[in-house]
Amino acid sequence: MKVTCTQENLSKALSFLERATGKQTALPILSNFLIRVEKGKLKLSSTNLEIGVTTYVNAKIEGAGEIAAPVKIISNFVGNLPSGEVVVIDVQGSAISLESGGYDMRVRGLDPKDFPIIPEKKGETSFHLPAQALKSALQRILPCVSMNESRLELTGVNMLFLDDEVHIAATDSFRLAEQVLRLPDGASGEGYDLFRSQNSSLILPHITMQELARIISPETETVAVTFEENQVFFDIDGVSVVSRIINGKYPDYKQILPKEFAYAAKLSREELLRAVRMAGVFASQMSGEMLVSVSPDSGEVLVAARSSEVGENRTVIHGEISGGEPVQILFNPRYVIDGLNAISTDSVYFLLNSPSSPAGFRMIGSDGVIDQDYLYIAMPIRK
Amino acid sequence: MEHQELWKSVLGQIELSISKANFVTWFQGTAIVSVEDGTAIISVPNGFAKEWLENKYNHTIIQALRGFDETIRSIRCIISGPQPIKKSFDAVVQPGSQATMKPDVQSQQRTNSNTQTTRPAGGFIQTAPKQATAMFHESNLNPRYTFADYIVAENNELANAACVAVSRNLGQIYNPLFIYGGVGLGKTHLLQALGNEVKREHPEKNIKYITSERFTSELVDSIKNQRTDKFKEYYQQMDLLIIDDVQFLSGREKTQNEFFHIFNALYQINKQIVISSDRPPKAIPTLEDRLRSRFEGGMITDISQPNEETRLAILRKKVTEKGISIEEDALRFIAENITQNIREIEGALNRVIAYSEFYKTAPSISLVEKVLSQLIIQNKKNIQTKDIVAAVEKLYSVSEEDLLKKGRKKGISNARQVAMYLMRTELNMPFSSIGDFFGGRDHTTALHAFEKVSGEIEKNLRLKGELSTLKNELYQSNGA
Repeated sequence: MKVTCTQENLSKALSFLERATGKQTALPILSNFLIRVEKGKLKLSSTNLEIGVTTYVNAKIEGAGEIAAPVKIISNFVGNLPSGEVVVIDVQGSAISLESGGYDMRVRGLDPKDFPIIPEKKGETSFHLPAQALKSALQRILPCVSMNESRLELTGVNMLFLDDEVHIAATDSFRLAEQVLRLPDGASGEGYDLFRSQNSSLILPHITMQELARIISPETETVAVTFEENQVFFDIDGVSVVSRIINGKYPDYKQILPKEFAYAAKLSREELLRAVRMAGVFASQMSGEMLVSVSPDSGEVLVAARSSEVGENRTVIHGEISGGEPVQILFNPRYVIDGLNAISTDSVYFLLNSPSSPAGFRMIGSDGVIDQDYLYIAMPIRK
Repeated sequence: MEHQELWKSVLGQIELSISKANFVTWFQGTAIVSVEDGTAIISVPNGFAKEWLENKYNHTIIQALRGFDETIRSIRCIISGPQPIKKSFDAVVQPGSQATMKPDVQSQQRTNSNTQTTRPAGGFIQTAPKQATAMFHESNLNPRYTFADYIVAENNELANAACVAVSRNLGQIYNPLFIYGGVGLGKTHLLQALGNEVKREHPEKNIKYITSERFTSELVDSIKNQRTDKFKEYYQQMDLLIIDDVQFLSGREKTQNEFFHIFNALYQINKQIVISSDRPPKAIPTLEDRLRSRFEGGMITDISQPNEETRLAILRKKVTEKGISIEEDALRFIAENITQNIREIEGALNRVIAYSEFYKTAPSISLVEKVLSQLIIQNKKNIQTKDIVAAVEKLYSVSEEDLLKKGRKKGISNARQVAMYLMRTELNMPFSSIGDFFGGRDHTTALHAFEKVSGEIEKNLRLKGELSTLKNELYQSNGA
């Protein structure tokens, strides 16, 4: 088997595959990807048994065959090749060689028969999601996913399927982000209704959603979603991702989203982020808290932190603030930084109720309109 | 053969023929759902396992299956769907009032932060550990256990009172509260009831019920994932931490160490800690001294074995709960004969109910006797003559020598008769052997003793009490 393709195409495909490989040493085959010539096309796939990724690469094909190849070594080699070059992959028995210009490498592959079979969808696509909106939603949501495996359901992203909206949310129980994804007209067809009748919500693994966000390129228009046999298939520009679903019940987070806020401060995202980052440096190692004091009358927000080990710091920023008496609230700076980082607009709406209830962040567009589709909330540190 | 059994045997065979890594990867979480028309339907956790089992291991599996069931010709895999895991989530924990913060501290804090004070550090940032409040919090409490369902008798009234008191004044009175007692005596019920009561009265409180075993494994996980800080953070935000079966921490130094720190952190800010164990802190081997002394610093109370009336009350309650009718005699028989612990009593009752349903007869005393005979024999077979002698010696303060000697001193001959009676009832020994045992007495002496004691039991309350104490002693020391 001999295939010839461009460095760009191969490198791009490998970057998708690399994330979906297994780290566990018990099954060494999982740190490999499968190279296969199928129906005159070069098919590459990898899996960690949680998700599987399959992609096709445009290539000139001579002969047929398949082999499992170590993904790390090959993706490092290909990634370092000068772009614009052509790569020739030659497989003889278990020997794999790659050649491009003056660079070449040789490595031993594993028996493709040992490579896990990646499930393929059999039926029709259930529905389509708008790719760019999904990608930006995921980027805002993913920082909130919990890494603590003692609550498995929180290690995933929850998708709640409504009539013509999908509510995507993640939380680690200290902060939560929710983005409403509006389905374009026509997207919510029969397939969507059928799908919804089977699953009103799904919890998808963190890694799957990360992979989706990574695969969606600026040119991608839609992501095709198919649900079959308790697994989900995504098709994005010829790359297919199959993922398991996290079993469990996602907490009913809608309950704690505050209906309204007593205080609202329109602030520059940049200024607030700077203040909080500074406070993070001075916050005590032990309690890791900073004080935010909001004074509607003077239109001032004070961000301050102090610890005996380091010292202290104060920043005053100005904005349009509505609300009653001045209020003070304690936060873990990290949770606020994550929330502000996820926001892509220049101004933010910082929303508060009381020192013991969750605070919210919303985006304000350049036209001054508040984006009601995205909400990040952070729990304060309670006394 | 049951599907579960069948699959277990099949897995046992397959495990031998493939590598451990492959076995764990592909067969973990699999089960046979059904066998239809020669096709075994196997549920698997994910699509990868489905493909692999159907395409690579199908022959191995079919072969193994056919060894047990000739009719199976093929297999099919289905991916098990998201089953809602049965976990109780507390309704979202809304941060409550600042009850624990004294008003003067609050005002002081405000002045400090507003006026850019020159006070030493620690002014507005208090050093006591405080954490962001969790939005969703899982208490592990089973709502089935409540104080109302708990039968209070002399064996557990102190423990019950302590728990009720603690539920009303978290962290204020008995802290830590340490409850110990044997298996199946109701520690977990009491602990859970305490948690449930607090949850009902103060839904905003963070409550966690956890067994020490689970605590250890969570800690190990957190070490593996390098999230020990998260682990500590999580536990240190509890208002009420209940640790069940703490004796399992014995010998686990690292866990004890972490627990010690969490304990201290909570204790210092007056958060309630409740601990249970099967023995008092002093008797837990390899428990670090500093932990032991902390456990002993609060309130220690025990739950002992229920006496016969309590057992009967528990049985009556269970019977009412289940909505069935059983003759009082039959209940009494169970209460008299199953003495070890409450779980056993429940088991015996369930067994009786199952039999009566099966044979479609009312649970009468004769049925109960028949059904439980095996259980009772199991209980009895561990006892030996020397146990009876020892118990009698202890209760009546007589020596073995006196018991075996000839002599008719009143106190001694009474004790001897009781011992003979017990050998007959508990060990079912022939009278002649009993006679032999007591210094070569005649079998009629043993028979007389048996008849005398049997006749007196109903009339003589003290004797009845003594016999029940003796039986308790016998089975308790045996069970421990």
